[in-house]
This record gives sequence, structure tokens and C-alpha cells, in this order.
Amino acid sequence: MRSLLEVSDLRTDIRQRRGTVHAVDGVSLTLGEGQILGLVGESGSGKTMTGMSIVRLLPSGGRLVGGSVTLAGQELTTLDAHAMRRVRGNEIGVVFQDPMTSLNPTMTIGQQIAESVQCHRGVSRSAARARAAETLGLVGMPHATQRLDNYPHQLSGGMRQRVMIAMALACEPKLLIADEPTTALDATISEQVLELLDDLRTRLGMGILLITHDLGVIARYADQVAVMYAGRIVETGPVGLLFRRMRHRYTEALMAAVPRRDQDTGTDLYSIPGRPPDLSDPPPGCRFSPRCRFAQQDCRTLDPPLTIVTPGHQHACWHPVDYRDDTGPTLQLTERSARNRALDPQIRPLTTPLVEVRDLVKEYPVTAGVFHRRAGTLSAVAGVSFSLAPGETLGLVGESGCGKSTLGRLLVALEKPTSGSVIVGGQDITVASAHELRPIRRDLQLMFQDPYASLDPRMRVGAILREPLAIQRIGRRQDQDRRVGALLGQVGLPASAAQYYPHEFSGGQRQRIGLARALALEPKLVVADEPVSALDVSIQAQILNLMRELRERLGLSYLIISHDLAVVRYLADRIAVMYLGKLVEIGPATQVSEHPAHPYTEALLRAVPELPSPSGATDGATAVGRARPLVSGELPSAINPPSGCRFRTRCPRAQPLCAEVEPPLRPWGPHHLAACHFPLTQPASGGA
Amino acid sequence: MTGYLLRRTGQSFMVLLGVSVIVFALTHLLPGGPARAILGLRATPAAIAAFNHAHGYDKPLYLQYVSYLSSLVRGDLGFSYTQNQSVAALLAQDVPKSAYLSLLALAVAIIVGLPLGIAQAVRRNTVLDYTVTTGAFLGYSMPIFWLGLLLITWFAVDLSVLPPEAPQTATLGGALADPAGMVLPVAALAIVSIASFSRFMRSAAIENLAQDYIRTARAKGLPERVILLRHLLRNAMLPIITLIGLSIPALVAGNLVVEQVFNYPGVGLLFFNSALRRDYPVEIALTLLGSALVVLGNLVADLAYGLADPRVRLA
Repeated sequence: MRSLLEVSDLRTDIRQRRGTVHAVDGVSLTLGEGQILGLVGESGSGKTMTGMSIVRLLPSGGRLVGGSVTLAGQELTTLDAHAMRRVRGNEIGVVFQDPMTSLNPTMTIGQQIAESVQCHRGVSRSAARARAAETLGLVGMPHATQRLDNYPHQLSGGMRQRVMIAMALACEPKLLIADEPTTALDATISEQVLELLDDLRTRLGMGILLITHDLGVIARYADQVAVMYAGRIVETGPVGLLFRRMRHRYTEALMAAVPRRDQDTGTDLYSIPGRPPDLSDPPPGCRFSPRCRFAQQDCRTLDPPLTIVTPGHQHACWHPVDYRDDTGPTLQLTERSARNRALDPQIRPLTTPLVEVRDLVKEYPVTAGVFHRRAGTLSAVAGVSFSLAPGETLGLVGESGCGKSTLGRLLVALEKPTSGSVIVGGQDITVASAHELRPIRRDLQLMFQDPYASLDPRMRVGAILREPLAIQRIGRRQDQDRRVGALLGQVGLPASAAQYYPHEFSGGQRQRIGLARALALEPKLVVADEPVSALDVSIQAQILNLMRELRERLGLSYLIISHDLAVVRYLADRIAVMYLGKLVEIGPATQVSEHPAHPYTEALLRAVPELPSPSGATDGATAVGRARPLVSGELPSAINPPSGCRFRTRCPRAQPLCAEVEPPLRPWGPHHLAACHFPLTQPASGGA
Repeated sequence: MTGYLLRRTGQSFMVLLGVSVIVFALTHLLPGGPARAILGLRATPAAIAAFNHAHGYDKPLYLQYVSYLSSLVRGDLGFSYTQNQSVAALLAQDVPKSAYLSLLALAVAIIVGLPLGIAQAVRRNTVLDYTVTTGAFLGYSMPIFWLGLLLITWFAVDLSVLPPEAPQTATLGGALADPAGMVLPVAALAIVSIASFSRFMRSAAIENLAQDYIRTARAKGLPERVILLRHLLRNAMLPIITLIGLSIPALVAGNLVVEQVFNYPGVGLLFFNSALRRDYPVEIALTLLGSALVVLGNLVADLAYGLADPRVRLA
């Protein structure tokens, strides 16, 4: 393996009004030709800044203050602006996170790909266009030549990311920097895009710097890993070794915070206390020491140097994980007393359900023409039935656009269904008047995905939490204030938090406030729409633990809507899988995730890259096995959904029958239903 | 697109119909009615009755409106008693000259204002930015007649480099033949628009410069000039298009003042003089014309927006 990219002791400062942030503080990396180097870390760890420093695309106020970057023997840090411009897009291609905002909305994708070729190769317009078509074909865009004249908004998210990749590859760069290339995409689409990148680097012999917060993606695709924390590399090594024999305490903690497939749902997730440090004034010694359980006096004063474990595996920790006794990681997770699984669907007696959903349908009209005549129907939710017991947690999974958020909104009566009913406490809330709904709304609360956008920026936290109490006229002002203090305590925030505005809190704290707001009225059901997908792994674990703890303490029911199966599996008693408005499978969480009946469920499960289990295999560098993606293509339009089984257009097992007859939900076992003609496992004979 | 155009044109006609009702009502709200206004305070009641009968003012109101509308549709805008010409003839003479002045000023404002705003955004918080911002606030806050007078004092009186008066001509050709005479009126009219366009362009460009797609363009290694012209300009222009459409009433109003200050024989001066002489048919026709321009400006802005932004499907 020849070395392609050598970064040594790279330092980048960003000058801001409140001080200078040392965003990258002595980072060294090596990337070989045709290799994928995974750079992993939480937000603010400096991983993106490292990538941007290599191509010198720094934000205003940012500049390189030291170190060197060599690409195939050429030093980049000493190049002038003009020469650096010749490198960008030509020798180094960059793929950014969000393909919607990263493409120019007013130019066709053909123009956007071709302009890079014209700029660096000096070829004619038509030659550049031909190259654009060729590159689009390379990244798997169907009908590439016809697609050239499309605008970005006419493409789906996955296709847009393919355009981004084509743009980066148009001039055949030696190095591709992919900054969170699939974070904005669904698991199934993300898998397709990552497979594409993996395939391209072998075919083109290009090196890829894969920047991501997702350890699973790194485990599945990277050859080498570098873990960043607070502007520094804390551990680096080959992927197999690093995941099974990690040494740094931060790496260990990060991996423990990710919910796993084999996670015991009776235990808390390991959560890293506190928050990453402020990089304008980093703590002395090891930067992780304020949050580290194993920190000693030396950690707080002396900077740990990079220590070589084996050639290629280095870490910077004074008290690393010790494998001498061969017991694996020593991090002891807090074991909970075995949870009272009264909620276990296997043994749960048939109680009166808290919520019962019957044949729920929600359609939106699609209009066209001068007189807005109805041109079609968007079928968002198409005949969904299920029930939710008191204290039960139901996880709802599916790709974006499958109708899961719509279903959540219908459940809390934020929208009126086209037909069907939602029965809460014996009353059908779909026919209730606004006046009748008001007392029912106390029992049904929503927790939102984006903790930045869902709290009114002009209201103090106290006012945000008091508002629901005031609307429902609960108690007097002093009682309400007392309740606000209690709520803040419940979600682990000091009572003084009531005095501050939302922007003064971190993402995790804001999500705590969102949860407190949802709990203000002592609801019976909380519908949590992607509750942790905007948060970092260590913070995500804090919120998940909190949600679990509150559920047990307050006897809440949750409907957890998420694209992240690991999150759903960790919290949910039962899992429901939605596809294009239909429920395709529903059943006990372990049953659905271990023995799925529906091919779509299996595809979703397999699309999520898993971390290798640290305790299971200690045999070191076993490659993390993977198969080709199980589903191809993308979610079809809900305006004219496919006939019969809606999944048939992407299903590897589809047969003519699937197009003709819609499969009904059939019982597979106790509380386990699926709708498939040709399922993966055989249904229970005779039904349940 | 065709459907959209039809619907919007239909809507525009409805608006204009509403305006015609108001304008029609105005002729009847005049103290003493048009007869008194035209024949003067000393006219005898008999003369007024004869005038009213001759012009149909003694018929029921709805019939009068119908006949007013029908003559309007036929292009008959009435007769100017003070100028002894049909209003249509007056408009045919003066509208091209005013349009020339307005469009020239609009073009200058766009050509100067937009690059100025982009330059400010790129060189944000520098001396250039602060200077242009100060200038823009001065230009924006100054009354246009005062600005016109200042321009005359500086460039025509003190420096004697430009004529103090606009071309004195009855035809558009005469105005075209005297570019020097147009400089100060156009400048007076354009400065206010430059000020507002550059402010809006500055904020739109700053917002767009922070967008991810600009970073993508940089990552492609494009020269900065290409990034600004090809990527930034078109996106930052989008909000400005609506602004330009909405600035048409301001331009029309500006014409009114500028033509008076520089004695330019256009529609503005015509309106001003007609108001002084109570030439109601002319004023009514010009009011209607002004409304039509405002409606048209909005329609054109919306259409242009649809062309400039591929995401907007006009339907």
C-alpha cells in the first residue's frame, strides 16, 4: 500500500469574537491509495474541520497555523490560493452531508458536474457535458444522459447524493473527502450510497477520507479508523483491531453508548457524563479527563502522548483499557435490577388498550390546473390498525415518506384522518369536537425531533413549561411554578434553568426540555418523533436512559417514531414496520428484530451497519462481514402506490401474485402479525 | 404555465375593474360634479344642466358607469378641456418619454445597485461596506425633489457640466437625441432605487454566501469570479426580482416629482399640470394607467421569478 495522504501535526484555528477556537490541534493521519480512512467523533470534535483544513475550505476566521499535508508527495499547506484551487475538485473531491443544500438549486445537475471538468480540464462545453453523463452513469444514475438537464429538486435525496459524488469524481481525484455523506439519508439509501463509494474506490484506486459520527458505518466500510476528541486524535488503528481491542477510554465509552442488536434492554446504556470541552479554552492534560470514569490525577495535568500498541495502532491515554487478563473491556455498565417486565407482550394479560387505532386512513388531495381540480390522492396512511397498552412502548420504523410521522400526528389529534378511528379511553378522538378534545389532549403529548426548532426562541424555559398548564388551567401561578421546577428536576436539569432561553442550552439539554414539556400535563402517551436523531451518540444515550427511566417511574406509554432500528429496539416492547402507508409487520421487539417475517423488515435491519460485539469475539481482526443491499431503488411515490403489495416493486421475493392481491396481516405468533405472500418464515398455523 | 397566465391575467382584469369603479366614483364625488369643475364657478345653472345633459350626466348612475366602461374599452379615455386634445393623444405623446426615463433609471439602478450589494457582501464589514451603507441610507432617506435640486446645484450650476433641465421636446426622439440632458433626471430617480436594491442585494448575498452550495462550488476549485457570477448572483437575485416588480409604483411616483423638478415633458408633468388646472379627465386616465402599471409590474415580477427559479412551478 502506497501512502496517498499524509497529515502531520495539523493545526487549525478559528478566530471568533469570543476567542480563538483551536478546532484542529495537532492531528496526524495517514491514508493509503485505495483505502478508506474513517474519521469518527462527536459534533465539535474537529473531524469536519480536519477534512476542510486538508482542502483549505475553512469558514471565515479559520486558518491553518501549523503542520503539513502532503498529497501523493506534494505539500499542500504551502500552496498559494491559486494553486490550491487547482487541487480542489481536481485532485481532491469533496462530498458534503446534505445534498439538498449543497447543490445549487438554480443550475441543472449537468451544468454543475460539467463546470468542474471545464474548469480543470479546459475542454469544450460538449466534451464536459459528455464527461458529466459518463460520471453520472458511473455513480449508478439511471438514464444518465436524460438526467443531465434535471434540477436538483427534481431528484430524490439518494439520487442527489449520487450527483454530489459524480461532481466530486468528475475530474478523477486521487482523494475523496466524504463528510457525513449519508447522514441525511434513509438507512436503505445510505447503504446503497456507501456501497457505491466502496465500489468506486476499488475501481478507481482512490483514497477516501470518510468523516462520520456513525460508528456502525465505520465498522462496515473503513479500513483504518481515527477517533477524534476535542481537536485531537485519541486513538487510531485498523478497523478490526480498534473495534475489538480499543484502548482509549473515550473510544470505549463511545462504543458502549451505542445501542446494539444484542443489547440487553434491561440495562442502561452507558452515557458519557457532561459535554465536550470548549475548544477556545481546552482543559489541561487529557481533554477527555473531565468526563472520564478512569481519570486520575496525572490525566488532569499531563498531556498523554500517542502510544504505539502494535504497528498502526496508537492511542493517547494514561490508563488504557487493559486486555492482559483477556476479559475484554472493563467498563462496567450500570446493571439495573431486572426490569419488571409486566409489559412483556408475551405474558401481558389482555388489558384495556390505552389507544386503539382502527383502519386509519389519511389521504391528501393533489391538485392541478387552473381551478385546482383534484388530480390525484397522496395516500399517507392506508388502513392501519393496532392497539397500545398502558405502559407499553411501541416503536414505529420505516423510511422517510412512509407515513410514520403522519400516523404519529393522527394519534395525538393534530390531524383529522380521512377515515378510521383512534379510540382513547373509550372515546373516538377523530370525531371529537375541539372542545371535547381539550381534556383528552392532556393524555396525548408529542416530543419533537429537532430540539433547536421546536422550542420558541423568544420564550424562557419556565414559560415554555408553564404554557400547557396555563392552557389547561391547572393550578394557580405558584403551583405552576412549583410544577415547572419539579419537571426540570425530573429530566435532570436544575430549577434555575427556567430563567434561561432555549438557545442557552446544548442540544441534549434542549431535548430534555422538550421531554419536560411533553410531561407537563402528566400524559399517558408520549409520541416521540425521532427523539434522538439530532443528537450525538453520548448525548443520545443520556436521553434514551432518561426516557426509559421516566417510563418506568411514571408508567408512560411511548410511541417512538424513528428510522434508527437500534434506538427503537432498545426502548420498544413491540415494533411496527410501515411501508408506504401500510403496516407490513408488527410484533414483539425481539421477535421482529431477530426473526422478521417480512422481507422489508429484514432489509431495514440489514441496512443498518452494526458494531462488532466487543465482548463476543476477541479473535481480533475478523473482517466485519456484509452482504449486498437487500433492497434496491427508492420508496415509490405515495400518489399512485403500486397495486397489491406496495413493497413488491423493490422486493427480491416478489411474484406475480404480489401485484394482484394485497397480502392481509396474518398472525405469526403471539402478538406478531405480518403482511406478506412469500414471507421469510412460515406463519403460525391456525393463527393466534 | 398557460393556465397560470390566464388566471393571473383574469385576476389583473378584476383588479382593474375595481379601480375603474373607484375612479368612476371619483368623478361623481367632485364638488359640483365635472360640469362645475370644467365650466367654472361662475357658470349658470342652465349651462350646467345643458352640460350634464350633453355628456349624459343626468342619466342613472349605472347607465353612466356602463357608458364610461364601454368608452374605456374602446380606448376612449375622455377629452382634456384645458389642452383641447383627446386624453389618448396626450398619453400617446407623453407616455413614451416617461417610460424612457423610468426604464433608464430602473436599468441604471439594477446595473449599479446589484453589483454594489454583492461587493458589500463579499467585502463585508470593511471600509467599502460601511461607505456604501452610509451612502445608501443617505440616498434612501433624502426626499427626491431635494436630491434633484442638489444635483442641479452641483452639476449644472457649480460645475456647469450638465444641463439643469431635461430635454425640452414633444417627442421621444427628441429625448433620445439629448443624452446629456437625461443624466440628472435619471440619476435623481435611480439613486433611491440603487440605495434600496443594494441594501437588499447585500443581505441576500450574505445569506447565500453562507449556503452549502457556495462551499460546494469552492470545493470544485472554481475561480471566485465564477462562483459569484454563476452561482451567487442568480440565487441572490431571486428575492430582488419581486422587489423590482414592487418598485414600479415608486418609480411612477418618482417620475411625478422628477419631471416637475427637471421640467421634463412626460406623464408626470402632465399629471402635475392637470392637477393644478383641474383637468379631471386627464387625471382619471392617469390614475387608471398607474394602477394598470402596478398590477402589470407584479405580474411580470411573478413570471420572472418563475423563470429564474426552477423550483417554482407556476400553477
